[in-house]
Amino acid sequence: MKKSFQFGRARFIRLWDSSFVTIFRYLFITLGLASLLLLVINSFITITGAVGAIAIFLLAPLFVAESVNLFVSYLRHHPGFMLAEGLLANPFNRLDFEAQNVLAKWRDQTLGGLLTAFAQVDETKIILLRLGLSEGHFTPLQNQPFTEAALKQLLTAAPPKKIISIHQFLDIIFSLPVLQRLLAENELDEVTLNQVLGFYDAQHQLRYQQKAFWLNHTTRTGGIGKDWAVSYTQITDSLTTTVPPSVRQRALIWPLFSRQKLADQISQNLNKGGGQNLLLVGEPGSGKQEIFLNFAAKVMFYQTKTALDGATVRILDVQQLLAQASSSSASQQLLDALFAELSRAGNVILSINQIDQLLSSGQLGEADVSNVLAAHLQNQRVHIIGTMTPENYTKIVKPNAGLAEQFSVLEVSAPMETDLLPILLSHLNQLENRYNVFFTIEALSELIKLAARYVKDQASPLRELDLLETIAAANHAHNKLLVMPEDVEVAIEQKAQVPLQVKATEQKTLLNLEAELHKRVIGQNRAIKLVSDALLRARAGLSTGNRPVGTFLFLGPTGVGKTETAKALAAIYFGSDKKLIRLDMTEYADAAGLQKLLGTDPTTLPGALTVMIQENPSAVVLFDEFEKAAPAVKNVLLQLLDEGRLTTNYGKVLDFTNAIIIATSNAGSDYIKTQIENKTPIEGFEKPLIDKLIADKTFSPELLNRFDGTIVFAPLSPSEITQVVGLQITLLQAQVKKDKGIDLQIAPAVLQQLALKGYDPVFGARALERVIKNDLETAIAKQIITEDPKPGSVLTINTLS
Amino acid sequence: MLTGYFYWWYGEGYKQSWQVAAAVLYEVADFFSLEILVKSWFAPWKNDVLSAQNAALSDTVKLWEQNLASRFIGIVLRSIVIFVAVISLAFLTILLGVGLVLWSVVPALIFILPVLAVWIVTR
Repeated sequence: MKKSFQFGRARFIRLWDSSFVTIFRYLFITLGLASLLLLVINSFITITGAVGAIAIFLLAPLFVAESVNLFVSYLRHHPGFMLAEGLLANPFNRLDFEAQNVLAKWRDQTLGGLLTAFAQVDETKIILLRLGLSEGHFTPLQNQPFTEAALKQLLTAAPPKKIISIHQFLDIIFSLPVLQRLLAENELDEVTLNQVLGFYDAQHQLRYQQKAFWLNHTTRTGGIGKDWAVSYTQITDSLTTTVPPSVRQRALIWPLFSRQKLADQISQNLNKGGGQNLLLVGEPGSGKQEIFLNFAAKVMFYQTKTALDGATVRILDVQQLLAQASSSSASQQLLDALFAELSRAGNVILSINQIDQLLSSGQLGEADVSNVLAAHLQNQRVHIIGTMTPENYTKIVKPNAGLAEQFSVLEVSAPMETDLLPILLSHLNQLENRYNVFFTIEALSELIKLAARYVKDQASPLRELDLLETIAAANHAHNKLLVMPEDVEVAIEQKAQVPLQVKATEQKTLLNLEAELHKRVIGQNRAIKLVSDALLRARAGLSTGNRPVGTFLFLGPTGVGKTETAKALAAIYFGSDKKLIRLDMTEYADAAGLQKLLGTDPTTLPGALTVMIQENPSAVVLFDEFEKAAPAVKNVLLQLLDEGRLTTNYGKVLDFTNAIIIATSNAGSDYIKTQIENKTPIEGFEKPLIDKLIADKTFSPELLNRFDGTIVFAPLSPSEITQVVGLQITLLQAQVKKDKGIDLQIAPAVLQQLALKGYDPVFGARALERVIKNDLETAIAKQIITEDPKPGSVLTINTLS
Repeated sequence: MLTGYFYWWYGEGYKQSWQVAAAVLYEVADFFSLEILVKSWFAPWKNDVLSAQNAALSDTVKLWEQNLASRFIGIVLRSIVIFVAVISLAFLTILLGVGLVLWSVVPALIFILPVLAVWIVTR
């Protein structure tokens, strides 16, 4: 290994880069340049032969130093130079110079020693730290023998490559089973490792390209005379901004990963005949601007290799346009003048960010602006690139055929999941320096996973990047250098307002969910058990995240605890009673029900469910009296139950994957009561009940099959009603204590009286609620007025009369 | 390493030095917008052309004069810049040519220069 050809060259490069040689190099350069100066002076003033000879002599070390330096610089970027087939037969010769530096630091013949060597080389030190692996992790491997021969065998077995970079070398080493186990212990898998190493390898290559000559990246700027062929543009200058030259970095350095295709497609589309205008349609935060800037940079620096190269790229300031015009007609005149000027100037690409703002601005009048724009869009001398959301595209552009046919559309969807980690990594350097924090890969992977699952109000990748910034700022505020998965969980809990961490207390709650629910719901043992079991499975992480957390149909007569169960679930599972979205389906029973539920327009009629689920994506969604919903509503809910997603008429995708869906229905109540009176156990009549509901066409079999559970709630017995009385009294006592500071005591006779009076086989506990309100609360009120009890005193109710 | 040094110097290194020379010339030409200026050599300055419909003959003549003046200014300014650019490129070409010749003899100079110095002292 240490006698390999490549190892020798790496040693020479290290020697050349050493301070000792560098001092001599600079000395030779200084003396050489001084000699050159002396020889130039010699042309004018004759100097002695000896001095001239010394000057000539000193030029030789200058040539040596600089020519060898050029050669080393080339060699550093071209490790495969002069590696013939014979040399490549030795796998150690295939390792690049950084990898050779690792070998140079590998002092013992152990695996721990090799990994420690990786941790001592700058290039891989940061990667190992990011993976959460420090030298301490490698200490146990110091006793694991790993010979040069074993390494040679491993390299020989690796996929054939002429040159193996240091990152690929590390990847090969991590293919060893013992290190696979180490990765698994650190919650890392092979895919993540490959993504991380792939990213750093690509960065390494880019850095080399930057350092190397600009030969392969010759760019043009257009130069000093670029604008001399373009007419004066006073209006354009006042209404638009230019793209800063710093975007050059985006065109050449910043990777767009899989979405580079989209940026390339922009120039292809704009070059097509009649396709001079383009719309980038995507959710806010999906990266439309990033893709546009990549394209703009390529145009500005002559990189598209099309007629667009060198075009002037301008960004319209819509607010400025609206501010400059005092009226609708003035705005239109301004827009006309702007386009006339742009047309005269020629070869202009005008970007209108959030073009929907302009098209839907009340000040200009939607129809008028659309028509004014549509007229100018036909002008072949001006290209327009607009960005807008899918909703507004469906609402504003699609219905206007004149406008729609002037644009080609590029859909900007969220980046592929495999792109997210590299995207975050590419933003990390700046962020970490700014906040003085360090993200581990484990934390980043957790962020990607949890953000996709729980944060639904923002599009990716902005969603992840915003979270990254929030977490960095939070850790910085707490002087915490290392960002761990727990920090990510806290941030996402706060953003999504949903409890994520199964803490000790929460664990207890979940395991005792059944008992917890029974604290609020009396009886219904079977129903509560079915719901608890389903949710326990979901909470343990067995749910896929592609469907709602749970979907249940609660069947049973009124006042038996269906709604109370939903409320209790919201409180226990999502942490608050307020996490209940309740929709009375009698309001959605007519033909317009679906429009009212999901909406038709984001501003005028956004839809009740649309608004509520967007505000509260982690909640219990309760469809009360579900059987009364219009058939169209029931049909649309099929998709919700199946995929956990719904799309509104105006293109908004609603996510229900963090919600529990509960539909309640009184349908079949009489049948249930009869069966209970006949002492048939619920298990015995559940199937016939469902068959009956299908035969009655109350629910379709497709709909019923999509629920995780169709749960029958039985009517409450008199003894259960007594328990409900106890529960209600406890709540009332707490309320009186809180409001008046009085300890309320109810005599057992009163409790008995309430249970007797409140028992109604038709209205269940609902009748009891009425009795408590009408009789008990009235009795308490009378006694308070009569006795005027002071806070801290005891108020006893002995009779209802 | 020594073989590699010579192999590179007269192979890839020499090729790269040509590429560097070409890139420098390309960047200088781009700086002076040579291609754009030649293509628009006789175009009016800042594309400043006036036109009018149904104008009187005297006005038409005035417009024609103004447009001619604009074109003249464009030609003069562009010609000046094109001249400076061509001179700069010519000068650079000579300089780079010398550099390329020098490149071919550098390894030889490393040996020749000390011998020459000794000869000067001892003659």
